[in-house]
Amino acid sequence: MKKHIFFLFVLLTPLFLLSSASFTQSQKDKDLILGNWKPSNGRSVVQIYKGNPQNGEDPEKYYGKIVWLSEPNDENGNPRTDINNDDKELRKKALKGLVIMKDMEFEEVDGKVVYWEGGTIYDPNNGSTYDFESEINKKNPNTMDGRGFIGVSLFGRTDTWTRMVRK
Amino acid sequence: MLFLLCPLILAAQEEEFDMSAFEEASDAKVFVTNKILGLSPTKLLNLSFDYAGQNTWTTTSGDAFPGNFPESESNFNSNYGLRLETNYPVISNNRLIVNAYLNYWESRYNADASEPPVAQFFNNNELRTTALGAVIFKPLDDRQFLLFQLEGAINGNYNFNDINVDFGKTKFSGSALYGWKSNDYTNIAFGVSRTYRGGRLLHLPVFMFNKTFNETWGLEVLLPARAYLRRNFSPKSFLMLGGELEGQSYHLQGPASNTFQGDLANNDWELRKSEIRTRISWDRAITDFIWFNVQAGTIITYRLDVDTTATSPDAWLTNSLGIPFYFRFGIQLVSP
Repeated sequence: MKKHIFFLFVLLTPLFLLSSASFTQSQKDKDLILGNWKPSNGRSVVQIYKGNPQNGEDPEKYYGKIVWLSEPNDENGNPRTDINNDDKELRKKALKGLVIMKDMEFEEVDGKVVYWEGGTIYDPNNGSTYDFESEINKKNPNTMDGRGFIGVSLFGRTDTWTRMVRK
Repeated sequence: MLFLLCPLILAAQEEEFDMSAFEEASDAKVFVTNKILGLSPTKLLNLSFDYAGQNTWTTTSGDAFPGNFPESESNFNSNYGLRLETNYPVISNNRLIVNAYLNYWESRYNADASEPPVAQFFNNNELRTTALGAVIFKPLDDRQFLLFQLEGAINGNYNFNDINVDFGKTKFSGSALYGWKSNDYTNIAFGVSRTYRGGRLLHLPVFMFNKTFNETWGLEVLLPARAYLRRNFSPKSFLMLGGELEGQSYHLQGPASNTFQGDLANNDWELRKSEIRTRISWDRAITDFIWFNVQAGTIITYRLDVDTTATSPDAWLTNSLGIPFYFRFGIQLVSP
């Protein structure tokens, strides 16, 4: 009996280690999107994080908030707010800290490219919200192509975001 | 253990971002974008109806006419047509933007049956423009860029029935500009253009200047094609005041042109048309992506003549026109 258990242990341990390593790698790929990113216009930095249930966010999804602005204040010297929002109540909300990317879900890893989709992105410059998807090539994990689009991905625009790293 | 770490993780998330402690990852190169804050948005789709009011044409023989064409005066009740303009981003990333476009315009004239043959010709022949082109934006670095525009257009009185498209008469035009973006509110470019906007083929210098002065006012200039003063009420509502130079050379062909040519033997003609549309135009979002546009103004005809070529400065027949009022209404799908 002991022999059989030992044999089973020897057989299953590599499988367990393999699946564990695979799970870790998969989670690493999923979380490649996490971090601080600068859109191509260089006017802001967006911090992408995993959803916080305390804020009503899904912990399995990814969200992005503005953490830095090249022009933090308006013409009057006051912190810039979301003045272009269609909802008048939200126009007083500070741009810094505003969650502009929501509900991004990991989709798949295809070769070296990792995909997230199903999210939305809000453009404070015009107060419009677009569908959003993104991809990172693992060969260059410091750039991310984010695509805002209307309904179908064909009608959209891709912007390359650059990862901000500690000096 | 994980439970104990949660507050620390959350605290780290809430930590103030200190830009001075960060830098862009070294292997990433930054390129200038084509976006200017406050600029009127790019339209993916634009369907509009254009209507010009009553106008009178006085037709006379031009310098190239071998003889004397009897002068005639034609009264048109209206000139109207649909315009469909599409603009599709084929490639859109930081290193290259390629937008392909397909435009289809119709121009229909309406004149009473008692009007002279010139009016009857246009009464019976709609003018059509089908243009396929591409606009290419190529950033060179974080400030400089190149801008190209290429177009092949089929203009004429083809009707998909007894007058077919003559692809041999496709008009090719294009522009090449070099420019730079001074900041998020200003870009400037210079270049050259091969264009039919003057009615016949011309090679002209081009100047582009886009400037947003503040949240309310801006300039959008692409000379000699158009120039506007922009008044923003919000990012989703703005007025434009200015003008546009529109022009094409239409290939006139088929049996119907016999009516028009009268005693002219050749039935293979180019109608060279160029007009300046002064306008006030209002764009407003209905939803995030669907906008409407209404515009009104006048049409000042710079050239409306007929010749055997699209290039010669001389013409067989010339027309002098009045300055009619026009309006246009359109629905648009706006790009992100």
